[in-house]
Amino acid sequence: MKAVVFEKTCKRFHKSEYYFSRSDYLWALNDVSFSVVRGEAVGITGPNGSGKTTLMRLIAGITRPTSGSVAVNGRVVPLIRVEGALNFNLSARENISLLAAVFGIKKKAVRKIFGDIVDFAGIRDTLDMQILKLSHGMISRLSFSIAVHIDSDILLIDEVLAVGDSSFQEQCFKKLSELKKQGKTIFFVSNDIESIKKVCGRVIVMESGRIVSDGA
Amino acid sequence: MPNPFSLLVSVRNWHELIFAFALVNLKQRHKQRYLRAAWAVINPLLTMAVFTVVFSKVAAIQSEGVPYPLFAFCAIVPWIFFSSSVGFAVSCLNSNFNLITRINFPKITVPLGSILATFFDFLISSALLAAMFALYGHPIGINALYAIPVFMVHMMLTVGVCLMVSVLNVYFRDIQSAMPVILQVWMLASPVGYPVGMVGKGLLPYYFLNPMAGILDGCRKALLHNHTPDPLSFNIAAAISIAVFLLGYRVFKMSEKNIADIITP
Repeated sequence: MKAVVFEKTCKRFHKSEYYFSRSDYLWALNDVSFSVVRGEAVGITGPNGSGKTTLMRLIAGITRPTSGSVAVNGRVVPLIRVEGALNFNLSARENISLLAAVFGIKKKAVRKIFGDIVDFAGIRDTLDMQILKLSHGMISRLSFSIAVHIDSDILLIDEVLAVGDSSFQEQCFKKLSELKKQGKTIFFVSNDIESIKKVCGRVIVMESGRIVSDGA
Repeated sequence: MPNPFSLLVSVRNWHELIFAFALVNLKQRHKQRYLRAAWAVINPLLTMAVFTVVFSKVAAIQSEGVPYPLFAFCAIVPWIFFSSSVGFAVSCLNSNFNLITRINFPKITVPLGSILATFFDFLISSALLAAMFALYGHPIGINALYAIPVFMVHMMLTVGVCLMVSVLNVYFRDIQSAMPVILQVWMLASPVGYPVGMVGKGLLPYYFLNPMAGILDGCRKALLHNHTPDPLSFNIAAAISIAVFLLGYRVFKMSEKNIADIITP
């Protein structure tokens, strides 16, 4: 059973900030084809600007391919710089409800996972404080915790583990292997090949919008 | 052409998110404001006070035999619902840049949540309008029920305009810059501070092309005069409002898939 299939996928962006102007394009992805079976854990690495995040955003359905196709089977929870998706004026409690609602989780279901999210992130004492007063590390703990507790088939993780102290990183890797055992498909973007190896059995290396190597 | 009833399906499936956005909006609007929700009544009351001085005292216009403050307030409440809905909606997608570029979800929940937040303010100011009727001892008759269809048309227009401006503002931020003056001209072109009776006969057919004219006049006829809305102006307003709603929904649906690629915070 395939979870994700890319076929000759290209994605371009306007270089200009004006949509209706003749402008050059930036080809973020150029003729990318690969497929991933359900339950696989795939690491994606490559230099900055090589198209890793664009690839993730296509899987998440946030954006659509310019040409070629992207097929996804199952529910995707993206953790693409998700700490940026948090609203800094709201408290952790309010952010959890808002993000869960954005992911389409019903309130009843949120109540069931709320305690787990809070305990995993270790933020019980600051639950009702505006998160702009929390440290960067605490905020990424919160965002990681929300994403991994939402029921998904495919999990996208983009450079989130760079922050957070070593004990939290350990906790994250433990959670990821747990999710892998449950049969979830995981995409893990990182420039740190060591942490990719901890989670993934397959590594895709990208360079200027193309896949340059794909294997174990 | 998207089926307009699919909007109702989206609302049913995503009502929790629409409410969540409305709450976030209210929180944002009340942030560090000590008077919080009181602004929902201060704004229309101040507008009424200014109108009473300018239109009633200085310009000495007639107000259909009703005390001027009540006459004005009856249109100020629905007008402010419309103008603040549009005013907030125009930048609502942009201000949710962070979510839109990181998570895939139905974008229509953003302007709908923004309108819902303004609707809470509208409920508060409507209660104040009811209190004004009691204060002036102004009777309310059975024809006040016509305010319901008038309000439905008003809502269609509001949703249509909000959907359109919110998504167009992703492509052209010019809309946001033009909006204050557009809303100001629109208010002066609508019977908010003066009665429809003051508009010259020759001008009336054009005047009623503004759907807010039929809506606000219908609202006054029903609530203040226990009278049915004027059929001609109300039907024009209803037809135009439905057209604006369908067009707004269509423009939104057509543009929705590109929003995440173009939007700027």
